[in-house]
Amino acid sequence: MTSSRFIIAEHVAAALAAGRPVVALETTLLTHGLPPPHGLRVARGLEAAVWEAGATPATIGILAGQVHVGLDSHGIETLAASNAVKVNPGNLAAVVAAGIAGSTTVAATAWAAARAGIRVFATGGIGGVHRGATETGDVSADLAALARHPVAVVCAGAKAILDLPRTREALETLGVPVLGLGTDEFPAFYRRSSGLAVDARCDSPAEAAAAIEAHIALGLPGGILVANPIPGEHELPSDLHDQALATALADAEVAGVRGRAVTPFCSNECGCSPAKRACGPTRRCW
Amino acid sequence: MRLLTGEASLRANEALLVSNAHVAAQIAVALTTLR
Repeated sequence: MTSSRFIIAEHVAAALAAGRPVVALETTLLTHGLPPPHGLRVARGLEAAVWEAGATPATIGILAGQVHVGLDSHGIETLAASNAVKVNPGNLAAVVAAGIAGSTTVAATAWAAARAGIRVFATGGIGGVHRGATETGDVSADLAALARHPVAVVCAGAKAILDLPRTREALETLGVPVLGLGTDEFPAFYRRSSGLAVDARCDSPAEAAAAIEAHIALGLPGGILVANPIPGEHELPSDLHDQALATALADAEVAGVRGRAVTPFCSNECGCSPAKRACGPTRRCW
Repeated sequence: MRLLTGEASLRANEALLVSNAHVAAQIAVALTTLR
């Protein structure tokens, strides 16, 4: 499986060969999703959380044109300090061919995890149908990747800035099962509920695992979304959430930002350079 | 407002990410017992 362009770390390969649990982790949060130094701290915290629960973390990213499944601590630091390109299926091969650094989105991570034989992947929120997509056609590659790659993706729903009803509808159209962990509703990232139904409710990780195992055993194609609502004590109050979202969208309107540029504008994704990403505490993370 | 939003969303973001990583690991562990 390992090649000069696709490298599975020894400890990850050993865990997979022995049938031990492995969890894939993405790196867009490290380079674009959270401002420094939070991205690096959180990336390390996610690895620790996976270890503590008895599984092996496999943080996925691209360094010097090589896809790494299971970046070590130095690799994660190197990626965080690099001018990493945000990598999706559309530019993955070009980034590898150029020999540069790249951080993997949900779509790219799901592909790499599936290729490595990893069945479970944790992220924050998936991409989906963007607001105004009826005009722009802007739909994240994450949705097609979920339908294509046999990986269970654990998330807190889709990014809050997206068109959630259309995103939920698209998942259904693509045949991606959505399991609600302890909930009947598709979570809304910073909010535990959205008013949108999941396909099935599971009240424990073991119950979700049983559904995932049945999906695999039946030979059903593609992946599964496990929707895990944000812990209640960290849920943003609805008034703050709704006001902040409305303000972000209004700022975009005033700035003349439209279509597919709205989401990065509202997310304050400030470019690839670590210096440019250091937006400080006013940064919003939608 | 923007300051509050930034700090609150960072904390919330981290909390949901850690929760998802923990749950994913629990699911991965459970999957190994079902094969």
